[in-house]
Amino acid sequence: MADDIVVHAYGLVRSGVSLPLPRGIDGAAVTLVDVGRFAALVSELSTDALGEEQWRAHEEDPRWLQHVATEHHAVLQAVVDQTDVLPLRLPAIYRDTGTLRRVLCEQQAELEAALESVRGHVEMGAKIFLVGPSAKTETQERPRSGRDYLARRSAEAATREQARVRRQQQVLTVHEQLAHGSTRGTVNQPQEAALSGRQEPMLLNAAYLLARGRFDDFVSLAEQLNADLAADGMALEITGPWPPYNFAQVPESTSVGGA
Amino acid sequence: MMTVHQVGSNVGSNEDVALVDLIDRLIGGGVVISGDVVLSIANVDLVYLGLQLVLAPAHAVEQSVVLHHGRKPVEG
Repeated sequence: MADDIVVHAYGLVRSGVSLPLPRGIDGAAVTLVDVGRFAALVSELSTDALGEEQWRAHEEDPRWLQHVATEHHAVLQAVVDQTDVLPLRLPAIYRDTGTLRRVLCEQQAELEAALESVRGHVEMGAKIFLVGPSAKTETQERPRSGRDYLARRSAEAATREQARVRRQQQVLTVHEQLAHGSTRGTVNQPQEAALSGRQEPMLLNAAYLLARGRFDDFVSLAEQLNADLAADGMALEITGPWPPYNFAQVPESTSVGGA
Repeated sequence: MMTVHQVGSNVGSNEDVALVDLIDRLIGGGVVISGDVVLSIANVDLVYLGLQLVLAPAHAVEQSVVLHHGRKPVEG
């Protein structure tokens, strides 16, 4: 048992899949640790690079975390392009392979169920942005009086409110249709304009668990929905296929509430 | 027009993955395997606080621009 090595686990795949394994964090080899019907994708890393002390020292260090998160994701992304994968939450480090194997064995049934729930699936992301005014233009005539002006202002405010309510309903409809075209859907908090790097307000930030065979249908549906939204100044953007981060859940007993 | 950002490595480079989208998924995403993990679950929240901090510099810069235009970002 080497003291200077820690085992980092990326995710789980079904046993017996043959796939070219990508390089892992800091270029480390990625190997498979078999546990019954599934196998964990792991890298052995130096404790100096990714040990417990390193995690504690850097748990609020943006650059270090970004590096680890990006490389953790890169492995999962390379794998999900070839086979189903159940992503593990960070940090996922173990003292050695034996410890990891024992922990996985203890929760074998739950993890098998979780992996089974994403079988043949990927995750797609969908966002709706408010990109412009609605196609309906406001009247350009000059107001005839102050009273006329105020009445018009009031009417415009009512129109804006109606437009907002209509947009809300459209966004909900789009989500329902995308969810209908996929296996499961979930709505997340919209990203702040500052974080998304976009000036336009985000009206929907959702993720869908999509059967691999339905990818083209999903894209076609999204294109159609986007065309409908455009008339009301909204734009739908989709991303994917992602590893199913939003749908990697262990049923009931062993799940832990998120932050 | 429709925008499809393909993140799959078979489609193109992974540079298309927006960091904000990745962190959006990593915060609260992925299976937690409880048990004899080196780091206890109690530390997880701090890690995700740290991941949110990854986005902080962009946030700070953009916010001043947004406020200059008299609009506040939507509360999260």
